[in-house]
Amino acid sequence: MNFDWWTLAIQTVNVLVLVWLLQRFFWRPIAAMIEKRRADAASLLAEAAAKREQATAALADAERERNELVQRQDLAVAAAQAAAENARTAILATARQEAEAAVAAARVAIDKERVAVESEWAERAGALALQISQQLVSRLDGASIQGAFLNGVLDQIGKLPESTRQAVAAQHATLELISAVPIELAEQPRYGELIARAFGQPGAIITYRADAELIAGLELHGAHLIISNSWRADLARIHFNLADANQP
Amino acid sequence: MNWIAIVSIIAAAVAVSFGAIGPAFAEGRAVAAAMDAIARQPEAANTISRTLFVGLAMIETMAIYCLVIALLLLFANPLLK
Amino acid sequence: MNSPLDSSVLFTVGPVPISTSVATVWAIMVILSIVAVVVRRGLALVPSTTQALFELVVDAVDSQIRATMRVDPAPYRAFIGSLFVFILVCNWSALVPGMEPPTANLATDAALALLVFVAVIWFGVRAGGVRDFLATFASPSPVMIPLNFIESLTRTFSLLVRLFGNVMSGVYVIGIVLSLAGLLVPIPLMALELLTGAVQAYIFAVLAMVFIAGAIERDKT
Repeated sequence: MNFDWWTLAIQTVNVLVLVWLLQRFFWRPIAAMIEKRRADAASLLAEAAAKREQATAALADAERERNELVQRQDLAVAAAQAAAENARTAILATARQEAEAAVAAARVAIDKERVAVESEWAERAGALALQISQQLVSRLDGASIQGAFLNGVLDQIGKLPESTRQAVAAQHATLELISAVPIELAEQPRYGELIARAFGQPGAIITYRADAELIAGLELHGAHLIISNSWRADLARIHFNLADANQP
Repeated sequence: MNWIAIVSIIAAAVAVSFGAIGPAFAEGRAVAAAMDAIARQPEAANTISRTLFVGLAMIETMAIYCLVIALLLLFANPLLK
Repeated sequence: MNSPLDSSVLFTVGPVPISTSVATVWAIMVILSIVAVVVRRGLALVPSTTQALFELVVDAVDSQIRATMRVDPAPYRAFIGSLFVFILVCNWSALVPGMEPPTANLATDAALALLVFVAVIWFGVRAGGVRDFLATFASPSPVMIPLNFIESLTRTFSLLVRLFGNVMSGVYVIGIVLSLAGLLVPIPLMALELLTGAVQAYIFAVLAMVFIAGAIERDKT
């Protein structure tokens, strides 16, 4: 056996060259490529992580904004409700006031109406009473009643204050005696005499006039006095009293 | 063929045959132990099998040595020149 | 039958005889270089299927280096990986008819073992200087210095003999079976030879890693 030293040497060189070649063309580029890909993947992952972080932050922001919006909306709704409540209350109050005012006005109107109606009724009743009394008076004997009324007038003159009576007498005032039915001419001097004597001053000038308005009775008109003893005056007084009583 | 050649051939056969007995037993034991270890610790199977291969190669070297001696006796016997 | 210890000379260049194994190694070198160049040219960030396959190879080598040597694989990747790929291709070249694997030749295996021997010294010196590398022979105690020297020689020799014995015996078994029964019978043996070739390439690479790791690991302590 002889060991092949030449082959040993050549093969050693061969394998060395092969190792160099493969290192140059195979191991190093592929390892570099793997490393590059790993670095790329790492950077991509980091980027993705950063993006995800951003997205999470943005999501949180959006959530917070949404919450704020909801809160604001709630506030707005509450404010609107409060405003609506206020408006409702105001409207209700106004309406109530208006209604009360209307009720009061209506009540006043009704009262006024009632008063008017009542006064009208009183008016009518007065007129009716006047008619009835005229009808009644027409059946009475004028002259005899005239005497009774004259006595009433004379009494009233007697009740007048002394100064008034004297004032009338002193001035020789003209007196007018108004009667419901005309006083007969024959009776007139007696009437004048009686009245003058009542004043305590004869010679007073007295004119005579008839007025059916009086219904029945006599009225003595002077410059400063009116003495009524007639149904018209009585009815007017009664009417006045009634109207007074009707007033609230 | 002289007696040296005959003895060389017999010696080569004896070297290979007896040289194979020891490594055979040893490899059997090594593999059995490795299987046992893998069964106990399956997660270490990689390390165990790598070490097993290296160990088997070491053990096998003994048989290969015997084979080389046999080859030397047969093909490169200096006494036969 | 030819002696398995001899190598047949194909031709001579001047005084240098070129054996068949040298020619085969040249062919294998050419093929591997072409493949490497083609793969390198087609490199892309998004890998094709082929590129993914080769990246898988690189990744496997890296992970093996990391698991066995527990260091960064970058400085050792090319040497270990090239050894593995070269021995694997050499072993499997037995499948090509008429071709004898270069690793079945004693001189080729001797060259590989010699490279590992030199690489251990090279990486050991590079990792910690000459003094530290020589100091590794004195561990665990100076008494072990001669034994460590002898061990570094014998383990290289055992590398050589292991690879040679395995591949050569496989080639010879197949040759003998072929001479007895030609058709189909050697196929299981050839399959076994494929397995043996892969295992031997792997073991050679792992042992180279272990030796280099032994040379650089003690520097760290």
